[in-house]
Amino acid sequence: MEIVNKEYGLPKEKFKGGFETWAWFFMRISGVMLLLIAVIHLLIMHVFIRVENITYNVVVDRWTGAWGPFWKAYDIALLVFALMHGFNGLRWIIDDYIKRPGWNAFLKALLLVVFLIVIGMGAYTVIGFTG
Amino acid sequence: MGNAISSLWKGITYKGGPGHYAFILHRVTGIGVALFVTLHIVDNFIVMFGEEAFSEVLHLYSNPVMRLLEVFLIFSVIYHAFNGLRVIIMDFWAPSSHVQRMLWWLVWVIVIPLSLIAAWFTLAPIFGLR
Repeated sequence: MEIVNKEYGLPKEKFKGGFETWAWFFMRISGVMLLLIAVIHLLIMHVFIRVENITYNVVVDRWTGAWGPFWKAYDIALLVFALMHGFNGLRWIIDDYIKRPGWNAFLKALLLVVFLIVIGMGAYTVIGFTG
Repeated sequence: MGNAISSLWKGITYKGGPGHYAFILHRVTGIGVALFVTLHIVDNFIVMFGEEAFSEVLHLYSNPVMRLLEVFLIFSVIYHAFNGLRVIIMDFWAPSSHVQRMLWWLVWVIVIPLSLIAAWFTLAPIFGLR
């Protein structure tokens, strides 16, 4: 006999939205997207090209060659989805273990600042690189 | 601080079986990948300072310790991706306990071979193989 755990699965109430529900939903959507784009990125960089063969010229070819606009768009998508997914995950971890309101707010504010700086650096690199 | 440690300790010592190990490993690999992605964006930023500066950064990644961390990174991404898929399946499709157990093993059936292949490609050059 199979035991079905009724506690699992989506709640039966109507979808109400709100930031946390959207954050939960975003993690599923971006997770599936990253399964494709992050794994393909790893496959190209670590298996096909291989890290020991990566040089400055590899980056020049990739971002300014005939397929440059495609790879720039690809890397922007990877940057945005990976960072949003990763930093939202870190935010959830802070909420799970840091219960004191002051520390909780401070760490999440710090996380947001780091997120904005890093996404800015990444976008500046991908968009601004001319070779 | 004591609060954070005690809630973390409760999270680790809770006896939840495979689903609980999956959860802990999902968090550990998630934190690892998030830290690497952050480092990776910062190192890539150096490309804006020209060929010489960027070559120095690339040189840091060529040492054997970094190659070993690279294997751990690839394992983390693959595990996090396929365990995440397992979580999504359980979220949207309330499966029976039988299916849940099967999904947990299925994650490893996919993750172990892919990780071993990645480990071979990454570590073989260190030992002068391939």
